Amino acid sequence: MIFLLRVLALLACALVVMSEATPVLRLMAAIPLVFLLPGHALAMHAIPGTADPLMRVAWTLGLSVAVSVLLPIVTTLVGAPIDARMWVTGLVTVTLLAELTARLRGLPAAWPRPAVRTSRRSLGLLVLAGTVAAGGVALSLVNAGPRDAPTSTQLWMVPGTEGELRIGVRQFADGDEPLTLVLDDGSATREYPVPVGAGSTFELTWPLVEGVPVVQARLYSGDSPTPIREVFHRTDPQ
Amino acid sequence: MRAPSAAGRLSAIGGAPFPWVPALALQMSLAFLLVSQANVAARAAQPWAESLFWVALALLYVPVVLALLLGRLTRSETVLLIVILGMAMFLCEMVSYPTAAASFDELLHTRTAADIMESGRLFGPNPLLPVSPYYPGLENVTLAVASLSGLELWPAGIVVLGIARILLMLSLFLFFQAVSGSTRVAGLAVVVYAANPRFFYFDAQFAYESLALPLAAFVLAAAAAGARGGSRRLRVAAVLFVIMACVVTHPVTSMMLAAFLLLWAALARVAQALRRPVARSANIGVLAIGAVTASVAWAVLVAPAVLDYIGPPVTRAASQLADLVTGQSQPRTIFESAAGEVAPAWERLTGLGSVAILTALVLLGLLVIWRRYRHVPVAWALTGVALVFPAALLGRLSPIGAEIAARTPEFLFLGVGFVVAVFLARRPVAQLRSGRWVAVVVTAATVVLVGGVIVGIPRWARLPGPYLVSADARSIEPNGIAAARWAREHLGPDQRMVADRTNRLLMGVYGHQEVILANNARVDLSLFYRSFEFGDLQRRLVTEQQIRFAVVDLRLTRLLPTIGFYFQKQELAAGTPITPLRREGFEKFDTEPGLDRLFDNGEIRLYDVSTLARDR
Repeated sequence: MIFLLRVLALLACALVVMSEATPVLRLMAAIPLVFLLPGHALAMHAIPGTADPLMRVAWTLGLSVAVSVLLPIVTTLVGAPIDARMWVTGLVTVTLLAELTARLRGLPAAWPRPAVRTSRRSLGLLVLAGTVAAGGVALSLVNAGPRDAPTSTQLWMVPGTEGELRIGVRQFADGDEPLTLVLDDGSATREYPVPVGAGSTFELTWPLVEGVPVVQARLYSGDSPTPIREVFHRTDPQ
Repeated sequence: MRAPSAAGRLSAIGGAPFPWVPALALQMSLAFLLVSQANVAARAAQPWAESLFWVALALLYVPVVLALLLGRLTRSETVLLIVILGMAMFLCEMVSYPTAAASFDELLHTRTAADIMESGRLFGPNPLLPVSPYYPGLENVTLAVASLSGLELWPAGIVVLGIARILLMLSLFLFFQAVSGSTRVAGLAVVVYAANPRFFYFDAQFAYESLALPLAAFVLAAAAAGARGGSRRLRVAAVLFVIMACVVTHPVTSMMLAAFLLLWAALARVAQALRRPVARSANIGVLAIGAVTASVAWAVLVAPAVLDYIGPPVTRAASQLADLVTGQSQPRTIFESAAGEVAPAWERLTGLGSVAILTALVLLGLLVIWRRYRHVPVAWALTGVALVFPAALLGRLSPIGAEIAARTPEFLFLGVGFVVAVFLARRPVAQLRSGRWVAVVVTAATVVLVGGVIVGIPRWARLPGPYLVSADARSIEPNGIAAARWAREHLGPDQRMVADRTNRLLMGVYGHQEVILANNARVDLSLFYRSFEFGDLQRRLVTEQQIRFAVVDLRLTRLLPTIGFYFQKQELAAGTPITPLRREGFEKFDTEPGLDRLFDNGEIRLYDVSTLARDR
């Protein structure tokens, strides 16, 4: 019965991780699939008579981690790609094989259950401790802010594939002053007002004219005569 | 096992024993909350942030030491306490930079993990750390969680590291308990281990050692502990399986594990030869041979790059130590950073105090080891490891020796923790319950932990804070990341590129560029950037290294490098810079004919320098 329950749990975890469920739900299934079930099944062979629950937890975690470390090595040897399908197939196969062989070897289907006695007060304190710790993590997450929040405006000029220059401006934060892009190739100068707005990108192409030694792009903020950004393309002297 | 505990019975409230361990868990979570607040304050550059950090750290650690030394905890209470301590200390590191990989090593491994995820293949090149793809254990487990849950790499890595930390604490406890036969010794040995300078920060990072250590600890626990029933051969095979996983995860840890198992096996043979009554344990000889064979075979057949990774620092350390002994070089000044910053007096005193207390306790513990554990070969092996600890301190007198010594505490503290715990636990609990002893324990535990952090982590790296040049996590900021992402989007991946240390990292990880790794004398990036014009040397570098793009970060001309160099370690040979880089060195990129400035975000500029090669 316990054997059957474990196999069903294994298949349920496999189904959830392959589904379109939210990452949190899939994580709930992925943790036993990666860190518990393979190691538990293998540990049944290695320490079948061990009654110490701590030893069993250590063996379960240690062997599970080892399976996930080594599975991609085997996958690479057989030339298969490392993807979600590989993980599900590999982990389920290892676990099922270990479970089935344990059954064939006549090993006990389950270890003796440890006697866990916990008072309500202890549980309450532990839950409170967990809540406080979660608060600490949340405080740090909120304060640290995302790493993907740049503020500096970018200006670029890169050669295109058809002999033109691709010029762009990307703003990440709302500025106080309007931005103006000035393009100059020595023979012609053009000004472009850059639409203001955080996250906006302004792009244009500029034809490369033969004989023009340098094309410059300058970005001005407000009425300031000094450019805040500058890029240039020089015609190859050779 | 005793339940309820005597300490609990003594402090019964309302007829039920007071739940000491859950109460301590709550106390540790509050201390963690203070650490989190210290990080928040440090980001806002509050001057009191560091003081709060130290107080919180002591509040987190010292009560656990007191509980283990003075309380009569059951086995399960002890394990619960040390696992919570381990997790709390892991979270303390995590909240420094909780949203993404930030430290130097974390970013190196992020590149490897991202490459495997994108390509679906192992062993692809990582220009930032060429040896990393050949030791993909941590990345593999992280990818398992990420692929199956749909999480991004960073949160998946946090899950893996958290579970690895539980495995580490549990395995260390089981190992020490199997060796000592005492729950109290085992608990104390684990908390002493947790005070090692690498435990708090480095071994909680997303880097290969953070997973390899728990695997190695598990191997030791499984080897030391007996097991009832089942096939001995299967058990040995299972441990060999985990040894292989450790080998595939981290070269240094697996070599240390192999060395320790060899020492253990050799001492067991000596004991047998002397016809001493020796405690029966698993087939240590087989495990030792397995570990050595697997490490060497993997290094030779799969990862020959590891020889370039490990060999030169060891050779340089030996050479520098020889110079030191023969008087050909001056000893390095300890407590002085590469940038010339001298630690405050209280930090120097605490750091030295920490080392002095541990050394004294190790020496005092030798007598107890002889009295109680002289028939246990693994106890001899642990004592031998503990005795390397004071010897390794001498290595800190040479620059490279200091670097190597700084990378060994996580291994040496296995012995230090055991010997110190054996000494501390020799007195019965009742004899220690006096105000005098409690004061001594509180002071010593605080000094050992705080001193360990001081010795292990430079001041600027302990907490987040404003941007600094060449300061690992303190140099990683959103605009640099955005510039690297721009490079990938507009220049394409895998372009040959040069940059300073920080932008090299960002371009390698977020830009997926093939940055030039300047870790050898042939590539002198410092001269490439410092010279006021592109001479023969710079052009030859561009040609030989097929460099296409160069990153110029103007902040390098305003601020000194925090770790003492801007581009590569070889700069340290010329002494600590006392002024920032000269602006003229960067202006040559604008004045040199044929060079294009492709990108500008106000601080970071990208140039196409490929024409320098053709000009030659």
